[in-house]
Amino acid sequence: MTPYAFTIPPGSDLPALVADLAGGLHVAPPEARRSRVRYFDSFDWRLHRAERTLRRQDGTWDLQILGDGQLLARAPARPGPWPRFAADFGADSPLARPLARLLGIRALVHLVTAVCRIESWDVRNEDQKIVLRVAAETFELEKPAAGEPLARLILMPLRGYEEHLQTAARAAAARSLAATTSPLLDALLCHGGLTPRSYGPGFQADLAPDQSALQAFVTISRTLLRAMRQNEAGLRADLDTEFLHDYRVAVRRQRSALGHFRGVVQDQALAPFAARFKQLGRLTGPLRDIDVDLLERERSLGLLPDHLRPGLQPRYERLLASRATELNRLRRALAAPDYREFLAAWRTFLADPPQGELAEVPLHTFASARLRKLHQSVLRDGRAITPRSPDADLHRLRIRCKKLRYLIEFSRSLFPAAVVDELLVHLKGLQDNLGEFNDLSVQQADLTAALAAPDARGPARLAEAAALGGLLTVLAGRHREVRADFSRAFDDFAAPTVTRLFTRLYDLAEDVSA
Amino acid sequence: MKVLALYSIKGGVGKTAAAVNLAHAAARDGRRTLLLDLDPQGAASFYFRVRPRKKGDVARLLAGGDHLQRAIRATDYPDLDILPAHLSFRRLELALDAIKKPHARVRKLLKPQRRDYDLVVIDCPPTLTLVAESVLRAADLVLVPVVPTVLSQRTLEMLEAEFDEQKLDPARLWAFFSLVDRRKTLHRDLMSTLPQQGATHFCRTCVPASSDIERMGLAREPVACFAAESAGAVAMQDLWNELSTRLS
Repeated sequence: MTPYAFTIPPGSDLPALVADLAGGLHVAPPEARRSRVRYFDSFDWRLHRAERTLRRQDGTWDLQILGDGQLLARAPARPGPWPRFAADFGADSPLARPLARLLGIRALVHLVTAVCRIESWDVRNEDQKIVLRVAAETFELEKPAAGEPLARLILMPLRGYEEHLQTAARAAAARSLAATTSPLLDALLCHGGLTPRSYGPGFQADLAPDQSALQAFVTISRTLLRAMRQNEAGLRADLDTEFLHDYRVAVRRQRSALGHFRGVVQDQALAPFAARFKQLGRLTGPLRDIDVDLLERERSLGLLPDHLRPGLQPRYERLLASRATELNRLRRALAAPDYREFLAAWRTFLADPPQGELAEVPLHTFASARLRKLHQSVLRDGRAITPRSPDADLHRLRIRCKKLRYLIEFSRSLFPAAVVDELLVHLKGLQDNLGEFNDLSVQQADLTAALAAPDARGPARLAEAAALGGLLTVLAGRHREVRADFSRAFDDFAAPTVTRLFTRLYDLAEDVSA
Repeated sequence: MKVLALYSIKGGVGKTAAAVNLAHAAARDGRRTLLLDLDPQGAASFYFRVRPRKKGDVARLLAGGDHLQRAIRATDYPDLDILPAHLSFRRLELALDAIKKPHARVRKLLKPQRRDYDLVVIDCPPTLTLVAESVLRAADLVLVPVVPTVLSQRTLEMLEAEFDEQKLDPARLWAFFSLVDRRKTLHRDLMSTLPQQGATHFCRTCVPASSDIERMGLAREPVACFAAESAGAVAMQDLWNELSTRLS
C-alpha cells in the first residue's frame, strides 16, 4: 500500500505530533537509526525515466520502484570504487541483469548523498496489535549541499487497518502539515536544486508556429549549445562513450540548423561559426570512430571462427592506445581558451543575431516550405538510385535523410505528435539501411588500411591478417545484403501512405499560415 | 503461488502452532505469505492479536471478490497477512454445501491472491468434511502434525484412505511428528516404525513438546519472536527449511 507523506516544518515537536496522529492509541518509544543514502542514475536519467531508482545505503545496493520504493533487487555493496557500469556489479549480482537492461552502455553517475535519520513509531490498539506505523525521516544533503534538512513524516498503512491511517491523515491535515506525493528521490533532488530528467535523448524545444524563423533559430541553437555544454564534463572525465556521442549529435544538429535556416541570419556573419562547428565535428570524429569499433568488439569477434579471434587482439590493443591519445587531444582542445572564446562568442552572437532577409518569416511557413523541399529531394534522389549507382550516391542520400530528420525534430512541436512519430518510424527504416551501409563501408576501409599497415611482422602479424581477412569477407557479404535491401527500405519510405503523412504536415503548416 | 494446508482430524496436535510459526518463517524468508485461519476457534488470529471479524459472514466470503480482499489484515510482521477467523466459519460446511462445485471452491477463492502472495498457509478445521475436501484439493502440500501415539496412526491411515478415495496425489501428503517427548519409549518406538508403514512422507524435523510453543498463547507472538533460541523455535525453522524447496 502506498504510504502517505507529509513535509514536516523545521523545529516540530515530533513525539507530540505522533501522539496527536495516533488518536489516543498507545505509541511505543521510537526506534531511531542513521545512515548515509546515495542515489545514482545515468546522465540521461534512464532509471528515472523507467520509474526506477538505484540507492546505496547500509552496505547494500537497492534497485527500487521510484514511486513507492518497492524493492526489486538487492545486492551487498563490495569494497572499492562504486560500480560504474551494470557489468561492474558482477555477473552473479541480482542487479547486473536489470541494470544492464535499463542502463545499456551508459555509466552510473552519482546524483545525491544525504545523511538520513529515521525515527519510527508503532501505534498499537488495545490488543497491542500494530495498527499504524509512523516514521519521521530527516535528510541532510551532503551532495549537492543544502542548508535546511528535508524532513518528511510518513504514515505507513497496514492492510485492514485503514481507518487508523485516515484518522492520522485527518490529524495531520488539522495541524496544517503539507501532504506530498513526490517520490523521496524527487524530493531530495528538488531540495538540492536539481531537476529530474533535466537531460534526455532527442531534441526538445517548444516552438510556436507564429514565432519568427529567427526566434526559432535562436531557440534551437541555444538548446543545442546547452546540450554541448551539458556533455562536456562527462566527455572529459570519460565516464562513458555516450557523452561524446551526444556532444557530436548536438554539433551535427547545429550544423544542420545552420543549413536549414540559411537566409534567416546574415549568411556572412554565420560563416565563421559554421566553419568552427564543422571543425568540432572533425575534431571529435576519430575518437567516436574508435569508440564504435570498441563497442562493436564482441559482435565483430562473434563473426569469426574461434581460432581466428585471437588474431584481432593486437588491433584492439592499438585501438585502446589510440583512444587514449585521441581523448587527451580532445580534452586539451575543449580546455583551450579558443574553444571557450568560441562558445562565448556564439552565445553573444545568439543574443542579437544580424537579421537575414527571411528573419521575419513565420516559423510554420518557413518550416513547411523547407520540409517540402527536402522531402521531395530525398524522394527524387532515392528514386534515381539503381543497383548500379555508385556508393557515393547512397552516402549523399544518407546525409540528406539526416537533415530531413533533424528538420522534423526541430519543428516537431508544430505538428501532431502521432503524425510526426509515425513519419519518423518510416524515415528511420530508411536511415537504418543507409547508416548500416555507410558503417560497413567505413569498417571495410579501416580494416583494409590495417591490413596494409607496414608496422609489424612475424606470426602475430599473420594471425592478425587472417582475422582481418575473415572479418572483411563477412563484412563484404553483409555490405552486399544491405545494398540489395536498399530498394525495399526506400520503397517503404516512398510509399503513398507515408507521402500522404508528409503532405499532411505541409498542409497543416499552410493552414496555420492561411 | 503455493498453498500449504495444515490439517489434522484430531484436535490438540499442534496444528495451529505449526501454521502460525511456518507462516512467520516463510515471511521472514521473503515469501509474501497469507495465513487463512479457517478454524472457527480462531487461535491463529489470536496469536497474531487480530480480532475475529464481526461484519460479514461466510457465505459472502465464499462468493470471493471484494469480500475476501477486504477481510484480510496485516500482521505485525513484514510480508505476512492473515484472513482472521470468523464465528460464522462454524457454518462453512453448510455454506459450501449450498454452492455449485464446492470441492473446487477454495482453489477458486485463492486464485486471485496470486497477485499479492507467494504462499498461502491454511489452518484447517479439524473435520473430515466438505471443507476439508475443498482445502485438500486446493493445497500443493497437506502437512499433518502427528503425535506419536497409536491413535494418531489410525487417523493418518484414515487420511491416506481419503486421499485415495478422492484420487488425490499421495505425494502431496506430508507429515511431521509433533509434541514429541523423547523420554517416552512409545514415542521413540512409533517414530521409528510409523514412517515405514504408510505412503505418507515424514519430515525429518520433529517438533518437541515445548513449553515455549505453549507460551505463544501468552506472548501472542510466533515463538521465534520471543524465544528465538528455544528448541521449539529451532524446530519450526528447520521444518520450514525442509518445506521451502517443495513449496517454491
